Amino acid sequence: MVIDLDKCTGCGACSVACMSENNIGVLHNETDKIRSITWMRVYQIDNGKSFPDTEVAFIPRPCMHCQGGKSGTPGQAFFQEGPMDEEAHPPCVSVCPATATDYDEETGIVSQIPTRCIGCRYCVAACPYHARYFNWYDVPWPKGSPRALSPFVSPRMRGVVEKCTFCYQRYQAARNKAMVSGGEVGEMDYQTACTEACPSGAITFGQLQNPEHKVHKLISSDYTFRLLEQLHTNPKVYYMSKREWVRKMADNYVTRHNKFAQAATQSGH
Amino acid sequence: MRRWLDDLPKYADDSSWWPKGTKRCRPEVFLIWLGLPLTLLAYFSVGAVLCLALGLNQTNMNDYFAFGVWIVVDLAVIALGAGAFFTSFLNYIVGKTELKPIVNAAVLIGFICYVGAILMLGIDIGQPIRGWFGFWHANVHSMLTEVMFCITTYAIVLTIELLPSVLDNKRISRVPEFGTFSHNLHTIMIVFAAAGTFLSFFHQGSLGGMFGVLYARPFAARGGLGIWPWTFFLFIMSAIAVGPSFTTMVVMITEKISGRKLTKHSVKMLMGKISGWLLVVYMVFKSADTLWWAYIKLPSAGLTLDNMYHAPYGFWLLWVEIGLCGWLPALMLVQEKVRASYGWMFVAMLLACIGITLNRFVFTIQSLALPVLPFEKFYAYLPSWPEWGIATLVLGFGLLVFMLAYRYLPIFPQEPELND
Amino acid sequence: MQWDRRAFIKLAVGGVLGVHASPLMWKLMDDSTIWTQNWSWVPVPEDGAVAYANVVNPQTGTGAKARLVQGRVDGTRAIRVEGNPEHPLSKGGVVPQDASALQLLYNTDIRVTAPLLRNRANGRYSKLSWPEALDILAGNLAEVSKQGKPEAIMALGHDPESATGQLLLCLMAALGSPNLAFTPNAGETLALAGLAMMGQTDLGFDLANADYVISFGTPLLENFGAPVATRKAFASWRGFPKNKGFLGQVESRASITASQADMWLACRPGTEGALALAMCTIMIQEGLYDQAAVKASFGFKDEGDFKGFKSFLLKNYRREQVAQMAGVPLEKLVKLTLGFAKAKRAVAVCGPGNSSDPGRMYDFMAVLALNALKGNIGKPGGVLVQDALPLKSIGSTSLRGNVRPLVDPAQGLDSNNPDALAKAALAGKPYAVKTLLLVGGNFVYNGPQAGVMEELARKTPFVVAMTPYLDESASVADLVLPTTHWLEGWGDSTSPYGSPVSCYGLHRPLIKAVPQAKDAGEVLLQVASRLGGKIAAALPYKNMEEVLMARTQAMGDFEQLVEQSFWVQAKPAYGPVKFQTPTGRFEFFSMGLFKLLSGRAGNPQALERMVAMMGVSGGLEAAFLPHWETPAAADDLGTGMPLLLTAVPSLRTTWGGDAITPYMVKVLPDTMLADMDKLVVEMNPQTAHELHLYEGDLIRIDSVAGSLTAKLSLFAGAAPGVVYAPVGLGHSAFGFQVEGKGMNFNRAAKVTTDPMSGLPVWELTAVSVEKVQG
Ligand SMILES: Nc1nc2c(c(=O)[nH]1)N[C@H]1C(S)=C(S)[C@@H](COP(=O)(O)OP(=O)(O)OC[C@H]3O[C@@H](n4cnc5c(=O)[nH]c(N)nc54)[C@H](O)[C@@H]3O)O[C@H]1N2
Ligand SMILES: Nc1nc2c(c(=O)[nH]1)N[C@H]1C(S)=C(S)[C@@H](COP(=O)(O)OP(=O)(O)OC[C@H]3O[C@@H](n4cnc5c(=O)[nH]c(N)nc54)[C@H](O)[C@@H]3O)O[C@H]1N2
Ligand code: SF4
Ligand code: SF4
Ligand code: SF4
Ligand code: SF4
Ligand code: SF4
Ligand SMILES: [Mo]
Repeated sequence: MVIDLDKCTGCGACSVACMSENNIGVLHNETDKIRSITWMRVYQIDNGKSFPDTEVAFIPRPCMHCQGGKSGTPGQAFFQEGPMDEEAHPPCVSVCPATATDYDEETGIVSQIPTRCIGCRYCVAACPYHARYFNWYDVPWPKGSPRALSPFVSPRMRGVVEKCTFCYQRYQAARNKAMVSGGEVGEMDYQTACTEACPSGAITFGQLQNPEHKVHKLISSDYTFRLLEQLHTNPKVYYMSKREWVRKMADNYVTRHNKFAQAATQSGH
Repeated sequence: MRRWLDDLPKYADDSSWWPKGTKRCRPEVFLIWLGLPLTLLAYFSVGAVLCLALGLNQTNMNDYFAFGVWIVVDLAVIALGAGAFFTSFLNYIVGKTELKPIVNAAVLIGFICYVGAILMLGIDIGQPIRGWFGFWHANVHSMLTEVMFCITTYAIVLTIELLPSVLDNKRISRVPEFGTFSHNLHTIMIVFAAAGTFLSFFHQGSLGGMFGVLYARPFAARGGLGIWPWTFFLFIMSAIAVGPSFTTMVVMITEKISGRKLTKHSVKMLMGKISGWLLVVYMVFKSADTLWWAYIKLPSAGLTLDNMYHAPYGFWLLWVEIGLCGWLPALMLVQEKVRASYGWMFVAMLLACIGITLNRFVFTIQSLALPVLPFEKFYAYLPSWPEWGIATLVLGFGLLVFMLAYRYLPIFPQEPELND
Repeated sequence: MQWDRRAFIKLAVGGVLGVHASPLMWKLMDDSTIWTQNWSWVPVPEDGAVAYANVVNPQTGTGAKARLVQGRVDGTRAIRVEGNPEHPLSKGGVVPQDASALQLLYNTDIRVTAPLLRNRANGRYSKLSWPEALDILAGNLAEVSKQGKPEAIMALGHDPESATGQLLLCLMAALGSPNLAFTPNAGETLALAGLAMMGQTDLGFDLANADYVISFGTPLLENFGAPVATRKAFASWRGFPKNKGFLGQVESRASITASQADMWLACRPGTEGALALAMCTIMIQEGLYDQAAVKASFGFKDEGDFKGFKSFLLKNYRREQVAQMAGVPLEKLVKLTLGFAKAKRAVAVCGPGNSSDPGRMYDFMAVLALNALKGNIGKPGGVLVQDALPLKSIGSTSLRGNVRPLVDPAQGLDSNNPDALAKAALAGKPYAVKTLLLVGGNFVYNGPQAGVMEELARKTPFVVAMTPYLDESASVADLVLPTTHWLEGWGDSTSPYGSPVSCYGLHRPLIKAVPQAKDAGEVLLQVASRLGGKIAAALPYKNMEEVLMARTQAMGDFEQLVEQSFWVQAKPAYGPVKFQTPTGRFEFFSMGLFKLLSGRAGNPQALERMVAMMGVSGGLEAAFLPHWETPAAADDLGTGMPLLLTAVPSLRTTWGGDAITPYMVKVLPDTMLADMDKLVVEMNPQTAHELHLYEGDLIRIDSVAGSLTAKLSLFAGAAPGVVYAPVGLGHSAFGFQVEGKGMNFNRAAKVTTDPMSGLPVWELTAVSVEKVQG
């Protein structure tokens, strides 16, 4: 997945489309962002400058579907075709005691099986992107509202962890269709809900390794970067921006003291 | 009715259950004392009911502080309870039989710590009923799987190790079957001591490994040997270093409260010496690890040591952990003079125990408090009242078990001779 | 039993094996797995065959597809609203309001499921049958009319262009009451400005084909026109390694548009129009305007008695003077202008303000003048005139009769001013209102001055709300009539604001409606039929399907149109524009306006007095030229009210139509809503410092209209002296997921009337701020 931050207007359509695709609930108090479930969270950042040089930008953050392992090269990610140089090692997968989250070698998707999750939250602690969410509450579904739920994704119960699955149900549907027709899963056959929804077309989704796919070309741009590359999480979500200050926000390059000085100027969430 | 009331002291007289050759306080006094752990347990029960019925939203944990005070307490008591396996190991396997008079107490404390920790973990997970999935769908790569297996099996081992003390109760041992059973247990205790040592070494390490392997969490992440991060070894070292101190401290507190001598001071001094030297070794490695982390590991993640300490989790934590509660007690305990003094040895041991608790605290809470994404917010965490309630479980449960055990079980073989 | 070692081991091993051999443990494991996965309170959505149906969301103009699941038990239900890639404008994208529309649809706690009669004394509702409800409504209308005062019936509707809006117009015309207004919008201001200068009302901006766009205070990337289409255009300007289009934003705050713009001209709030004029001055002085276009225009140079645009500008809008007044650096202003003047396909955009108000007509005229100087009218990437929608009239909608309307039409060009109407009705001047019909639009919440609407509803003897939801309007109505959600019923919508081509959207029942809901239009038809006589004859349709069929006759096969759900003008109208002005040319000096007002006034002296009374500053010299008016709120800035309050729009909130949805609430950032649902307002750190206010302070913001309590957030990108508050929050209805989240901006916004358009405006309000707690 590649997200063009120069096109993103922080509208939140990706986030909301994801919620409707994946049956996410709404709690009584959603201002408590550290207990609110938002698989796709849109962060707002700013350049820290004062009026009138202030500028804001948005960073939509799904699960990065980290491959871990060897860091760096885009050639090693998503829809791995050849054998891997090194075993995939997302930060959150190896820690799970109940094998409730796994790395799918075929698609490169980091899966989540809420019905197997025991709710120990070790994976939550392991993920530096805060992409994992624990169900602190039973979802209070208003009367009649379950009619809008998708039958392709099970609503979760209290006490388990959930996160973005790259709309795995859509991949399964595309794969089944391809199996019936004897073809392959084409670029447009499998698109995530957030990608489809984005009114700016800021999100591009496809196989990073497939030269036919748009994402393959996009990730070779000089303006492409990933979040926290220095931690070697090797994410499969790439970002692009021509704005240097935006690119710099993606990682820590602190000398001394300046990290929290920077953080203090940021406006909220 | 009247007569019955008058006779009450007679009915309540439990002196026939007391360990041989010992004296215990009057039953009414004991009952009043029992009020303390029972109050704590009542507080725990309220918290537990709330968390189990309404969910973990009753705590102040959240998606940023995925672990809270319970994990801190779990890690701390498991480290402090390490006296059990390490003293058993020295006594049964290395053959340091000088430690025999304190082994029972160590095992009892270990039992309390582990059972308490498991009970708390059962509430901590979001789906307690599925707790066994960790065994059934076990992921062998997870340090937590290792912890779950080892802690559970080791708790069983501790129960078995504790069983002879129970069966040796004056009244129980009168039943011939129990007597033989107890005897059989004693003869194979070395097997359990060995098993316990193995299990305990592993899970102490795995608990440290749990944090060290969080390679995307710069505060916790550590390099290491193969799949074992440094914290794997540091946790083992720190646990075996303070375990004996904690056991000894508990014995000393019991002596002060009961007003009775329970073990010879030489035994305590030996425990202190073991603790002291192990603490020195641990501090050498811990200091080296900290320097490596500060100067090599963190810069490789684009961070510096300064970024790791942020009010309220400031640098003071580092100085207190490594200096005041690390090197200081280590250097105190290796000195014969300090160990000879009941008071100073106690102070040193207390500092060491605080230091290790602080270590477990920073690995749990501070690891999570520090936002890794440069645009993330900084949050602090304070437990909610039901959460504290559950955290008091170990204390309440521990006091209760320890008080009962002290009153009725022959935990301290030297007690009769020392109090003649 | 002998207790030897063998017995001991036997017992241990036997015990372990025994436990495992018994089925008990396995049974317990299995049960616990199943039980923890099937909690009865976790819903299990029913599976079924999937189907898609096209639909246009009338709230957002998005071409969408409803994804339907045909369940055996639960029947057909919509599970998602997705984009429609075939829609030429929205091309598959959606906005949050589209993607979460089902949350308001499928929440029976907040839907009106039967006609309700409210007891004013205790606020309790009792259910009615439709015949009873229609009898009550028709009876009331008949009675008020019979007393000879049909003008005592007042109606507020949502969209005058929609079929429902047209039916409401027909009904009011037939009843004989002129007191009808609709949710005001910038489309009307643009139409009036277009009429004044071009003799054309249906203008649009060809954003997708422009390579240089300047937006004057319009939140292009927050909410503008059909938001998806706007974003598609915006995205087409972006590219790697080089952008294909340039965006300049003139605005007071580092908004999303300002931040995504290639240049942000940070000005004092309300000065955007003056800056457009200064740009005109610069283009004229630099000789960088389209000579041919200007030559073909009227009123650029002085003509006879009339001062022309050029000399007016050079005298009154010198670049240094405007730059200083607006607080912008002159070099930046010049740079932005030169870029515009030299670009191949540049367009200047005017539109609704950040508060979603209709905007100020003279500002719009200034922007049209800028476009005319650029010579982009009728050109690709410029200002276009849409082809008229091929819609047939469905009846007489003329409200002009012999009854004097509540609001004097001479107050401005347009009488669509629900605020002025409500204020007049509330004052009982010139007469009182007996019946108030609220047909969609939720006026009691949206206002625009919400407090006035609520008071009017409370004071009017009989209030009827036709709404799908138990909203704020329903809560003060005597009679609440359940209408359909757009996925449940028939209805339509017309071109969104600023669209370069005309478009039409149609929706039909895709799922079974909540019990008893009727299309709002159908309710009007049935009321008319009950009233009988010439009123019934004026609305001679059985139901909305018939109405729509009649309306869209010229759009081809109805069935096909229904399936497709939209009609869009095939090609933008590039080419010479037919200026239907009195001079037949583009009029920098609006001869049309001059003639109209002269006709109303009668003589030059009266004209001068009339213009002054309307509140136009600058006298007759300025009245027919684009010029800049000081915002009314600036005059209110005094000792008591030192700050300006304005709005922060967002696609995560809504104004005017349906309420914000739960998912939209969920994604609100904590710069809009925080700390257990407190409204968050922004202020420049320097301004806060001067007022001794700190980040996180709870403050009260007071205006003459009302007050807001909010948490203070210091934002460096906020202009000094201004309080920025999100719009669209603070509902007192819509269930626990929406109710009580923040406060309603339109409770504090002071609504005034634009001097020329006569439309309500509320972009800026003078306020005072006080700390409530730290
Ligand atoms: N011959 C035959 N064919 C059948 C059927 C049959 O009865 N007979 N049944 C049909 C039916 S009803 C069905 S539903 C299909 C099922 O067909 P599939 O959908 O192919 O199901 P599985 O084979 O179970 O494969 C599911 C995959 O998803 C992965 N997975 C599981 N959970 C998650 C998660 O949370 N995230 C991610 N990313 N991955 C996850 C698993 O590791 C596995 O690779 O087969 C159909 N085909
Ligand atoms: N071990 C294991 N268990 C699984 C799965 C797995 O992969 N492995 N997959 C899971 C999944 S995805 C699914 S969908 C379920 C499927 O599990 P089931 O719902 O049990 O589906 P089937 O095994 O296909 O059996 C359906 C029954 O319907 C009967 N039947 C066929 N046609 C008709 C009809 O027209 N009318 C009626 N009344 N009956 C008919 C068949 O004879 C059969 O008895 O299993 C789940 N359980
Ligand atoms: S570490 Fe976080 S972002 Fe990476 S795969 Fe795991 S959950 Fe996703
Ligand atoms: S919370 Fe669930 S998914 Fe995460 S580590 Fe624990 S069991 Fe695995
Ligand atoms: S890929 Fe799917 S699950 Fe992930 S954020 Fe996008 S919509 Fe949500
Ligand atoms: S939908 Fe697109 S533009 Fe909107 S927030 Fe998401 S990525 Fe950004
Ligand atoms: S679906 Fe059945 S077999 Fe699969 S994990 Fe759940 S209980 Fe086990
Ligand atoms: Mo299935």
